[in-house]
Amino acid sequence: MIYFIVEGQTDKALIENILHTLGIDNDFKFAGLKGDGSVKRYIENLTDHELSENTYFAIIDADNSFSDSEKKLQKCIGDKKIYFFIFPDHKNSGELEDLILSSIDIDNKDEVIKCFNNYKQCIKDSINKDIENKHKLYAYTTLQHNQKPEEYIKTLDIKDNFEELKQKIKELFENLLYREDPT
Amino acid sequence: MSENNHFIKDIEIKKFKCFNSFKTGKFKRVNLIGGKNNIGKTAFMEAIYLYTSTSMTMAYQRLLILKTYRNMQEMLLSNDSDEDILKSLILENQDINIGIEKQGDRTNDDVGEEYISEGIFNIEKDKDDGLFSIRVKSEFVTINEGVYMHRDSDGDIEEEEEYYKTSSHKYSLSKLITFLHSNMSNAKYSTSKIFIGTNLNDNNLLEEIIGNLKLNNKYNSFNQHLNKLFKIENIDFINRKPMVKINNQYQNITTLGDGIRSIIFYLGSLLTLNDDYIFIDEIENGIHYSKLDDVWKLILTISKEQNVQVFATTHSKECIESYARVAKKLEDDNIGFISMYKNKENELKSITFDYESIQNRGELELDNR
Repeated sequence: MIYFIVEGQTDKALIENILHTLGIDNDFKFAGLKGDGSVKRYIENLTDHELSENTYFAIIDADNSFSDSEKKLQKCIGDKKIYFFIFPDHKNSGELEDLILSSIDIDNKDEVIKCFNNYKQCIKDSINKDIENKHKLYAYTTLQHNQKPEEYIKTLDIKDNFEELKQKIKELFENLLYREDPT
Repeated sequence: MSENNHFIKDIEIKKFKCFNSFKTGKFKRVNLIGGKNNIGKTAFMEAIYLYTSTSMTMAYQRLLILKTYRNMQEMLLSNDSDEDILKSLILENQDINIGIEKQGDRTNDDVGEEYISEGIFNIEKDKDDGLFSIRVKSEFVTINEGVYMHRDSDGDIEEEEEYYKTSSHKYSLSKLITFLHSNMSNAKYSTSKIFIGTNLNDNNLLEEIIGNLKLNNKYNSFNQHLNKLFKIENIDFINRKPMVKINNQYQNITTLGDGIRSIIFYLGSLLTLNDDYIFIDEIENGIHYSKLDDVWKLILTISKEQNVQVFATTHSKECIESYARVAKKLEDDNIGFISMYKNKENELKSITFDYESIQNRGELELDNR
């Protein structure tokens, strides 16, 4: 069995969409799904037997630093055979929601987003706190599309986006075909 | 006995049922055993049950009990005598060797090569003369001590002088069977209370449990627990039949569901034990999932009070979840989960999860079965 270990429902929805878009119909399951930190905890609790029986693909957000997140994840993985990808594009800081928002290209075009950006700036100016982009995406999908982010992402047209992640997932399934280990 | 002193921590099993050479450990006070169907969960527990025997005859008595319990239907049809069963037991288990690590010999947390086994018993057949020798805890058993007597075909008691003049430790199969049978026949059920299988119609066992509860002044406590759980006011044997009193009226215990009857066996057995062990096969058997938390609460609480090490098998995901949930609620971290599996080379292996791992894996929805 192939397991995608992800932080939450939005990650799950995107992976499902990508697999569908790529036409991959292998059996797979999702694990983790308990928020920030659940991916690493899941990996730490895997037994040798589970690792030998299944294939695991871990996906986390880079958040403030891609290199720090990569180092922490690699330390957690150790010598376990686990594939991984770090949002948004496996090289820059950020999170899945940045990727989604950039792919739909609505910044300063959509009324909800414009309001949200003003609100974000106001909070920053008033109490010097940043608001994560997951809240912006939530505002956009619930107000403009009457859907939760995961429902919106599941049906999003992604033919021309998410190339890095698509490539990594393609590699995973190609490697499975030839039984190569993750590197 | 001080707490935990008698608890088994590790075990090595060789040539017993599905085990060719198998080591596992890190056992706690309460141990739940999981794994796929027919992986060997019950056989594993049976090996520990045998290991906890304190003598050769008790070990063989327990083998007989296990065989009886596992193959009840087949044996009823075949009409085999106890001697026939013993013969097959000896022939099936002549290389059996169940061992345990000597306390303090292990140099790291893993059960590794430094594991030193001390066999509970084994029987070996000499290739040249076909005679058998028995060793218990590495010592040869001498079966010619004392005067052995048996009844001849007319029923008269006669001594068999030649029998105990044997100078070596080797015996013919027939003498071995006679010896074991003479030692075992008087106490067939005396230790059965601690291995609870799925035979809920074992009235002899239930009668013994209730007798022991009365002798140990635990009978009232037993009835109080049952009253709290199921509104059962009393349980006793009346006219040799097991009866329960509900709403001031007695009814046969067979009118109760399997789950309640299972819990009666677990509770009654546990309450009579002190500094001991209990083995429960398919613990969830017949028990509604809504009652599993009550069962685990009883087992965790009473096993702690009575200093009893518990080994139980399960197939049920709900049962494992309940086990973890109740242990967390009671803040009882002396629990383990032993997951048995076959690796890619088809070798039988196991991994033991401690309290923290059980909780983590439960929260992460990792399948412990």
